[in-house]
Amino acid sequence: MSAEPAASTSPAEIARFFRRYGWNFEEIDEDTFRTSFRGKNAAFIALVRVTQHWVVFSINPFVKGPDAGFGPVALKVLALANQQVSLIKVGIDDDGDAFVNVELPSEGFGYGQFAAALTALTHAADGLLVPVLQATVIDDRNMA
Amino acid sequence: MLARRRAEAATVTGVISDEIPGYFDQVGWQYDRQRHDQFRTGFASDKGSWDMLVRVTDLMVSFTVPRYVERTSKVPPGPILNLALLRANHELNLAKLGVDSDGDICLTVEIPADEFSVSQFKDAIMALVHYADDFKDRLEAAVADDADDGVTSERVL
Repeated sequence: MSAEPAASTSPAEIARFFRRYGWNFEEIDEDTFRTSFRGKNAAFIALVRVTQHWVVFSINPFVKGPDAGFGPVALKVLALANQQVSLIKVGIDDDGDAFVNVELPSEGFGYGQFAAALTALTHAADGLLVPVLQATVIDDRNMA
Repeated sequence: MLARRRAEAATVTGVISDEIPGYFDQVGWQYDRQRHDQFRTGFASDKGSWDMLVRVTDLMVSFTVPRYVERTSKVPPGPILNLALLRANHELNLAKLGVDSDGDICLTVEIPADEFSVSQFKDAIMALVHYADDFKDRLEAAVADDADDGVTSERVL
């Protein structure tokens, strides 16, 4: 916490944060990292991307969109998650897939926020997966 | 150990809460301190005026525009509106749209309390001001379509 202007984080700093957090990672380009983790319910691949303004933690696809698109029950579960789970954002991308993100300003971004973001992302992804998959099953049954 | 952690967290919350007034002053915004850890402000732009709540917890600082888009119906948001919110979230940076437990649409920015700074305070406020105008028309249309649809069991993609 500081009232002073803060420097923006950098890819090199993000790499240091990964090491401090104790997670393996792979640099897939100069500003993007890939990591993976296994929760109680599934294994996930997450990307961390550093831009001039933002640090974006993303699991995409989180759940692949059905061919006919998500049904009303799944849409409700996904939309409600945004207010129920702190720090994370849930949405649907241009391919119709559900994603889970954490986005934070790169200015003033430090290890504490890195750890908070990665913790929120992993807990949210693992916690939301089963309710979303159950909702898609209910939607399928309702459409049958 | 648990008691000590709680005490430490409470201290962090208190310190950030006490710095928020200074942050408001730096961006030149008026505010009302409703509680020790909650502030109310607001803004007006081309397309409307909105309240904004700033809340400080042990873990994060949240900025929320509650009831961002008016809904007259007490019926929970349907699939057209939920889909519009979720697609919009793909376009937003830092901010997110969601539905609270009352069925109201909220525009929110959440930032971890750890290392929270005045620059992030400014980023959060500016994101909400920027997006409040950008997405109002689209979401109002979705609210109207949702109300017209009436049948919430249809697929909408």
